[in-house]
Amino acid sequence: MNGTSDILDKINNLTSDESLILESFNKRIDRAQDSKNNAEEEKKSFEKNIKDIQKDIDDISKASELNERFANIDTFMPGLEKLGNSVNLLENLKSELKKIPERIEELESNIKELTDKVNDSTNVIKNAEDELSKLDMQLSDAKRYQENLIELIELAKTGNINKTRDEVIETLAHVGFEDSDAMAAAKIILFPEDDLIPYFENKDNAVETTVQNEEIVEEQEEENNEIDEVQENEEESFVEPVIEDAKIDDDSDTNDNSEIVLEDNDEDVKLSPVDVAPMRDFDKIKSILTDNGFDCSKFNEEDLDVNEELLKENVEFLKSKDLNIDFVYDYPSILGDNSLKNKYSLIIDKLGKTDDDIKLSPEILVSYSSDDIEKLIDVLNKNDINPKLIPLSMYLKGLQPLLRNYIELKENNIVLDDDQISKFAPVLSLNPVDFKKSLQILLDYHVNLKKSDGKIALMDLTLSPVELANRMDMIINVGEEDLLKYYPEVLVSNIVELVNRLLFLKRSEIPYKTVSHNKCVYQSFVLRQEVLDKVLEKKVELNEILDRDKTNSVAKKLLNNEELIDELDKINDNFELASNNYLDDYVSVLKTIKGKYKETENSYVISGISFSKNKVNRSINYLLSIFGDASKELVLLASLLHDSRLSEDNMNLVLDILNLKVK
Amino acid sequence: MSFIDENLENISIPSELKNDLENNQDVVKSNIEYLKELGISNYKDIFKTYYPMFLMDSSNFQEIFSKYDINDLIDKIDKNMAIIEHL
Repeated sequence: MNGTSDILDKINNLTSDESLILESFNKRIDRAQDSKNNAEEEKKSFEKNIKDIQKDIDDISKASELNERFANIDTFMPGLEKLGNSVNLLENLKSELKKIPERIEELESNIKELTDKVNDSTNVIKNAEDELSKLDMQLSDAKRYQENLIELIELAKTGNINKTRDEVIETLAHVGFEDSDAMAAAKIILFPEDDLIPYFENKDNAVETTVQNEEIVEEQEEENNEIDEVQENEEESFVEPVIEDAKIDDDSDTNDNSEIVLEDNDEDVKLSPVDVAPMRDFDKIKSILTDNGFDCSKFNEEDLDVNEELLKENVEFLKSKDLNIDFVYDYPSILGDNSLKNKYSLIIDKLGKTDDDIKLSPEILVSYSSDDIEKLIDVLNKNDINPKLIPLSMYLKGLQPLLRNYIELKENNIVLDDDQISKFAPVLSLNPVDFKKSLQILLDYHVNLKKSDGKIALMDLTLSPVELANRMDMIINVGEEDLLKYYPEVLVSNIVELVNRLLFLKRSEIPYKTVSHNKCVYQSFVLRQEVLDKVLEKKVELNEILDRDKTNSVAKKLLNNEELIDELDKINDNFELASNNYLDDYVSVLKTIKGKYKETENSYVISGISFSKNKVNRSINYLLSIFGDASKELVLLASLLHDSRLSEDNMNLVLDILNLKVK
Repeated sequence: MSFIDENLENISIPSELKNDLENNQDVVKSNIEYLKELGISNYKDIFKTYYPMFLMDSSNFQEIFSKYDINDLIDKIDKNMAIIEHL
C-alpha cells in the first residue's frame, strides 16, 4: 500500500465498525469458540460412552457371581445330565460366563481409549479457552486503539490537530500501519487539508447521496411494479411462447447456470442458457467502455459479450486500481470476470503483493482463478514455501518447475532460507531437466553449493553442465579444489581472471589462503581483482594462463599423436556421451599408473600437478567410446594433457614420472 | 537491441531466464529505477551479477534496501556488492 487513497481507505476502514482488524479478531474468536464448542460436544459424547460401558461392566460383573455358583453345579445336582436340552443351555451359559473376564478387559480397554480422547478434548478446550482469553484482551486493546484513532481522525477533520508526529505514528502503529505506510499516513493526518478532509467530506456526501438514491430507487421500484402489473396483464393475452418474449434477468451472465423462464399461459417452459444467450445491449456496453477511456475498436464482438453491471463494476474497479488499460485489450476476458475483486484481494492478502506489484504484472489477474490461487497457496504451504516469497513473475510462469527444483535440492540436503527463495525464485524456476543436470555435475564434483556464510550458491545453477565442468576443471587443475568446496560462488565469477590471480599469487609466493579447523579460508584478493590491485597498490594486468591451443599442440607433439587430442576438442559437444555410462575400461587404464599418483576428492595429483579427476575420467571414457582399440596408455596421457594448459616442462615431468610406453 | 540485451551484454545467462526478464520488463525496469533513485551508482553491475533478483516484486525488492541508512548502504554496496545477498 503506497497511495494516499489507499491509506485513506485503510484509515476509513479502521475507524469503522467493519474494521478489518476487529473483523479479524472476531473471526479468530469465532474460530476459537467453535473449536471449544466442538471439543465440549465431543467430550460429552465420550463421557457418555464411558458411562455406558462402565454400566455394562457392572452388569457383567454381577453376572460373574453366577459363574461362581455354576462352577460346581454338577456336584450339587447329580443327574443333571438327564435334563435333556436344558443341559445344553446350562453348558452354553457356563461357557459364556467363562468369557466374562476377557469381555471386561475388552470393555476396560475401550474405556481407556475413550478416557484418552476425553483428555485430548479437555486439552483442546483448555487451549481454546486460553486463546479466547488472549484474544479477548487483544480485542479490547484493539478497540482502545481504534478509539484513539477515531479521536485522532476527528481531530484532524477539524483541521486543528495538536499532536506530534511521533504520537500519531505510535497510534498508527497500534492499528497495523507498518513503518513506511505509518510515515505516509502520519503526513496525511498532520496535514489534513490536502487529502484527509476532502476524502471524508466526499465520503459523507456519498453516504447522503446513497441514502437519497435508495429513496429514489424505492420510488422507482414502486413505479416499476405498477408498470409490471400492467404488462403482466397484457402478456396474459399471449398464447404462444416466443424467445423474444423471454424474461431475461439482467443480472444473468453466460457463465452462470441460471435458467431463463419463458412465460406461458399454461406452464413454464424452461430453457438452459446453452440454448439462448442473454441479449446484450452492445451500444450500452460500448458506451460504458468509451466513457471509461477504452477504444472499442480494439475489442471484437465476443469480447463485449459481457453483463453490463459486471462490466461497469470491473471497469470501475480496474480504474480505481489505476491499471494500465492496454492490458485489458490483450486480456478482454477480465471485463466479464465475476471474481475479479476477490482475486485481487487474494493476491494482496494471501500472496502479500501490493497494488503497485499488480500494476506491474496485471496479467496475474487473468492467469489464475481464485480457486487456482488458493490451490497454489496450499501446495506451496505444504512444501514449506511461504507463497509471499514468490514473485508474481514466477506465478505467471507457472510454479511447477520451481516446486520440482526446490524438492530436488531438498532431496540433496540443499536447504534454502526464505531470503534466498525470495531473491532467487527465478533460478529455482528453471527447466527442471536442465536444473537437475547442472546440479548433478556439481554433485559429481562434490560441490554442495554451501557458501562459507551458510547461503547456497544458487546462481551456479544458471550455468550449463558443460560450462560448470569446464570452470571447475580449470580451478582444480591449478590445485585449488578447496575453492570449490568453500567458495562455490566463484563459479559464476570470471574464472579466467580468478585462475590468473591464483597462478600469479603462486608464482609470486604471496600467501593467499589459510587452513584452520579443517576449513580453508582464502584472502579476499583471490576472489576480487580490485582488492588485489589495492594490495599491490597498482592495477595489474594478469596473463598467467597459458594459451589452450598452444599447450594442446605441445601435447600432440609430445604424444606424437594428433588424433586423440583433436577428438578431445569435440568432447564438449558430446558431453553427455562422455559423462554417462562410464566404461569399466577406464579403470583398467588408470591401473597402468597405479602408485604414480595421489588421489584427492576431485583430482589426480602427479608430482604436485593436479588434474581434474572428473575431466580425466570423462576424457578416457569418451576416447574409449570412439577409439575402442586405442592404446590405453596413449588414451590416458591424452586425457591428462588435453586442455591442461601445462608448460612443456611440466608435461615432460608428468610423462617422465608416469614412464608409460606409448604404442 | 532490447533493454535486457543492452544491460546484460557479455553475460552468460540461460535463455530461459533471459525470456523471463524480457517478459517482465516493467518489473525489471522498475527495480533498476529504484536503485538508481536511491543513488546506487553500480546498479548496472548489480543487475549483471544478480539479475534474477530483478524479477522480484517491486514491493519486496524495495523492502530489501529500505531497511537501511541509505548513505551507509551505498557505501557498503560500492565496496562489495555481494552484500546484497545478505540484506
